[in-house]
Amino acid sequence: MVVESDKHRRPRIPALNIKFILLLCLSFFLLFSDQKNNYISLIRNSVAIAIHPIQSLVDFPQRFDNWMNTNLASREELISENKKLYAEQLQKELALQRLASLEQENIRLREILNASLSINNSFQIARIISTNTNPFRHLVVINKGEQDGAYDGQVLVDSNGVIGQILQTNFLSAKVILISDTDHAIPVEINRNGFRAIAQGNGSFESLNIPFIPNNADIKIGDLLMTSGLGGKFPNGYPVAIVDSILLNPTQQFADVTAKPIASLNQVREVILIDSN
Amino acid sequence: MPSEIKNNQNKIIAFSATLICMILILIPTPDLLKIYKPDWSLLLLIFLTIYIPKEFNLGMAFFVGLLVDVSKGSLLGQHALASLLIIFLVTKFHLQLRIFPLLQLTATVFFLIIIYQFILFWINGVSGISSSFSSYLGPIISGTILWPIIAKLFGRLFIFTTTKK
Repeated sequence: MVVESDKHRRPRIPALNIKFILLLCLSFFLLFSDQKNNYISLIRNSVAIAIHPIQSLVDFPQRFDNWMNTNLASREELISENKKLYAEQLQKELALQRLASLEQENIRLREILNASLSINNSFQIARIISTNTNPFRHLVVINKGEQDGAYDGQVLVDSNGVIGQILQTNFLSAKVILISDTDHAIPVEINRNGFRAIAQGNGSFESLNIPFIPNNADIKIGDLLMTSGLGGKFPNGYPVAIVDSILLNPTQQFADVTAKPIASLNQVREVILIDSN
Repeated sequence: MPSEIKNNQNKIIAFSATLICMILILIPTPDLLKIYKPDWSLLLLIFLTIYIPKEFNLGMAFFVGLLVDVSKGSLLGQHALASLLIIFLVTKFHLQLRIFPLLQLTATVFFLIIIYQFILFWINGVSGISSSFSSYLGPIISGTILWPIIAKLFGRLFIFTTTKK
């Protein structure tokens, strides 16, 4: 009798324990396989597609604001902007004239050196659609995916310098790891003298660590660090950061060097995807 | 017949709540509040599991956890595992939790969030992802503060549906 009434009072959710154990095993399986290898990118992809409409929805106010700005600008604003752009263009053209001759010279010199010249021509512009993933990892999502020809490891720059690379390509979007993420390192060289180094992210948008610089190395504050292209991931010749502090400690083998990224990593919205294939 | 209508209504509410929750997770927060961003998904799951455990239990917890994993870019299965464990506990004791006074329920939720954050911390540690301690503290504080508000506001939306047919 007691059992009977108990049955009525505490109705069960069917097969709770079995379901729990099954799902527990499944999530452990996912964890291990995600940690060790990339078997399950298919699952991640399909979930990402499910999330994509929500991401676009969240992004909508920003797009609407952009649209308003472009469509509802006043005449004077447009005229002044036009003037400014015209002046800028003249300056750029001037610089470009010199560039043409420099490029010719460069090609000649390279022919002398018998080295191959790689110029990246193909690029496309992507927009960051979600930045706030995890405050302690610098990952962002862009609106270009496999469909647009993006691929894992593709390099992203903004108008000033390198931003990061694609960590994982989904069908309609891609996840990007910024150079300031703690898990990211980029091979660089000093533009002035070709000294090779590695720039590691340290979790701050404002600085990168440059480890393993000997105390007597030729490095100064203000040195420009360019990608060296040595890791095979990044094409060479893109500016990355400017050295902003060097702490020499005679008791240590290496100096503490940090550099400030040139690209505004936490302000940029439009990024350029470089196709180096 | 009326119970069927009720069930459908509950499903609609649950679905839209999940949608709003995903939007809350994905929406950018100012840097100052970033650390205090609550675990919206966990609060939602606890709430819905207490009220409508039939429509909303382990399967949903796992699925929502996966969504959070993908949108946060964490290890796939991390949030799924953590919410699965919490929701298992909540489903087991949902009848007791229903009759808890608000203060006691808030205390319970506080401990549940601690367990949840601890599991995330543990998985991060095992897989070698470094993160600061305060990032685990923030959601616990904000989640505990938000819980009574959520419970009061949305509690009115729900008609208690018992799990029995």
